[in-house]
Formats: sequence, structure tokens, C-alpha cells
Amino acid sequence: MNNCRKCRSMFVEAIYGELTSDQQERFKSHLESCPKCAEEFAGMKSSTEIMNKRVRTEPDAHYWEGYWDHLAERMEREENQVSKFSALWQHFKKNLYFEPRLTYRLAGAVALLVIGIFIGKLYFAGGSSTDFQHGIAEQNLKISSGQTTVKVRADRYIARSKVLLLGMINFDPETEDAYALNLPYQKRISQNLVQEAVVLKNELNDPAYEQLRELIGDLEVILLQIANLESELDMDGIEMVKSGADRRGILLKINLEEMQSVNQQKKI
Amino acid sequence: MKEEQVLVERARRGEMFAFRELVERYKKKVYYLAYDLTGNHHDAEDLSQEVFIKAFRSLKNFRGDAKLSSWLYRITVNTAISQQRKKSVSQMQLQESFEEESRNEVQFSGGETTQNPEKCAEAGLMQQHIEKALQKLSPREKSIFVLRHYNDLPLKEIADILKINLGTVKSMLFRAIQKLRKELAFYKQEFL
Repeated sequence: MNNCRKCRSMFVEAIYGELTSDQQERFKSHLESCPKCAEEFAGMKSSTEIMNKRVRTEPDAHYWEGYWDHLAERMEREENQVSKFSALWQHFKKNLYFEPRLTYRLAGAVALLVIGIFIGKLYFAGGSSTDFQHGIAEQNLKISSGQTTVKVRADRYIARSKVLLLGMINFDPETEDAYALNLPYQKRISQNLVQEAVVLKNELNDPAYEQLRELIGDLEVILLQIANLESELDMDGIEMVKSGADRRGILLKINLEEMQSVNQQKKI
Repeated sequence: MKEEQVLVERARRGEMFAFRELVERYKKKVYYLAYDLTGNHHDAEDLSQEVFIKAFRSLKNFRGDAKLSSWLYRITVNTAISQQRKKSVSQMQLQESFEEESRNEVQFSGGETTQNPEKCAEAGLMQQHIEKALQKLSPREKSIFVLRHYNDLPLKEIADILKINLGTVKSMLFRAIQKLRKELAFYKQEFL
């Protein structure tokens, strides 16, 4: 098994003749003794042979002769566009300097815009003073009660885990580049979340939080799997995470927990 | 090599003759890589020109510790990937079908008059399958595959160009070949 893994890790170099003579010898002797690896290697090699049949459409000599002319033309065109833009900017700046009226108008427009934004913010996001007082009271309530603070932390924990899980579950290796997943970063966050889960589970000792503690336990298992993924290309591992999350119905549980939290907050 | 360094230095100072000489030296290499990445002449021409324009503008950043060809390959791959990302899926599908049609025309009306029409059609179909199989690879996988397979760059150099480690290059290439194998399973019998 171990030999097979080592042998397969040499496939690419073997196909392109990049093995040293020593490696080549070991590789050959393994293939002779392992029909499974030999078949796999032959299959991959034959695929690269088919790819050799690809024909590039060769541009004619005329194209190559005119290559520089076309390139120089494009460079000049782009240069002109840039200089046109900078000339326009210079003209605008000059006008600002010589025509104070234009400057005042511009300053007036900017001031109006700023005032508009300020009023808009006050009007739409301000809220009434009773709302504000209510918010403060709620905050005080949370701080005064140790268990409620743990609950708030647990809710935040679940929200962060959800974002991470969604990124992993929605990742499609067939259409997306594995690097877009940024796995080292996800792994780091998962490690932190696993550590936090241990603390939270100990603190959530109130029987009322039994369900929440269970959910954090489930999340801990999945996050541990993510933290232990080998690389961006560990597709089997990523699939395992996805099926684990699916099997445990994690997202459904998170949604239920979020709904319950919202209801509790409304009651408060 | 020393002559090239002098040319780079002169081009860096804005001497167009020196830059032209560099373009003449590398135009084919850059164009062919661009062709492998885009799959058609029109986009390859556009991409290769953009590469040289970018290279001219950022020559001051070229420190000379890597080969000029590697630096140009890096610009080509990065530009191709960012162009591909910009294209929306619908645009790509539209272009794909259009290119397919034009490729059919080239293949069937092309110079292979000595072969019988059946073989010519078969060859044309195979070209289409191969291009389609290549399009199934992710941008990174495709870059690595074409750099190794069609441009004959050693794995170590590819790792340097893409600034990733050798192990990643190997595993991505492995995955690329596996995907191609799956896509071209139809032809397997002929070659085994």
C-alpha cells in the first residue's frame, strides 16, 4: 500500500522523464510487481499521448513579420489614451485654478452630498431614543448575567462556523480552482474554533443549553476534520467534511438555533 | 545571456530598439503559451501583446535573478487567469460555440486534401475533444499542464514561475492528467 502510494507520487515525473535513474529503477520494479499501479500508469500515459495529437494552428511567416508593427501600434494607441486622459485631467485642474466659480460649485456639490449622507444616516439608522435605551438595557442585562454572555459568545461562534462551513460545502472542485478555497486560512480559523469549542462546552453547563452544547460538539468534529486537511488538493478530505456536515444535518441545526436565538431576543 | 541583460537594461531606460529585439526573441514562445492557454489565435494574439505591454511597463521591477523567459511566462499565465476570471460564464459559452464553428470550418476546409474526408473529419473531431478536455481543467491546472506538456518546461521551473512548491505542481499536474483521462476515455482503446 505504502509502496503504491510512493509509486503514484512518481507518475508525473515518470511520464515526463524526470526521474533519476535510481528512482526509475525502483519505479519500474514496482510496476512489474503491481498490476494495479501498472494499469493506472498506462492509462495516464495514454491520455498524455492523446494530448500529443493536439495541433496548434501555426500563424504564417507574414504574421510574424508584422508582429512588432501591430504591437507598436497598440502600444502607441494605449499611450495616446493615457496621455489624452492625463491632458483632460490637467485641463480640469487648470480650470479649477483659473476659474474660482467652478471651484466653488464643486465644493458646494461635495458639501451638499456630505450633508445628504449625514441626514440620510440620521433618518434611516438613528432610531428612537426609547430604542436606544432599550438597547443599552439589553446590553446591561447580557453583561450582568454570566450565562447570557456565554450564550452571546456561543451564537457568535456558531455564526463564524457557519460562514466557514458554507464556503467549504459550496466549493465545487469541478468548476473552481482549489486555491480559491484558501485552505491554509480556513485551517487556521478551524483550529481556533476547535479550541474555543472546548471552552464554550465547559461554560454552557446550564441544562437549558443542552441542545446548543450538542451543536457545538458536532461543529467541533467537523472543524477538526477541516483543521486536519492535508492540502488544497485533499479532495477526499474535503468530500469527507461535506458528507459529515450533511450526515449530521449541521446547517439545519444551525438555522434552528439561530431562529430560537432571534425569538428569545424578541421576547427580551 | 549577458547580451540579453544589456538589452533589458537598455529597454528599461526606454530604448525601443532594445525592447523590440527582446520581443523578436520571445514573441513565439509567448504566443504559443498564450495559444495553449486560450485555445484560439485571436485571443492568443491579444494576450501575447498584452504580455509584452505589461512587460515593457514593469521592466523596472524585473530584478534579473530569474530568466527573462520565466518572467514572461509568469506574466502570461497571470494575465490569462485574470482575463478568464473577468469573462462571464455566458460570454464564455457563446464564444465557445462560435469558436467551435470556426474551428470546424478550418479543420474541414484546411490543407489536408490528400487524406480522405472521413479521416479528416475524425481528426477535426479529435481536436475539438482535446480542446474541450483542456477547457475542463481549472486555470491553474491548465497552466501547469500546458507549461509542462506543450512548452516542455521542467517541473522545477514551473514551480518557480508560478511561485508555488514543487509538490503542489506535481499533484496539480497529476490531477490535470486524471481529468483529461476521464474526458478522453473514449479514445483510450486505440492507444492501450
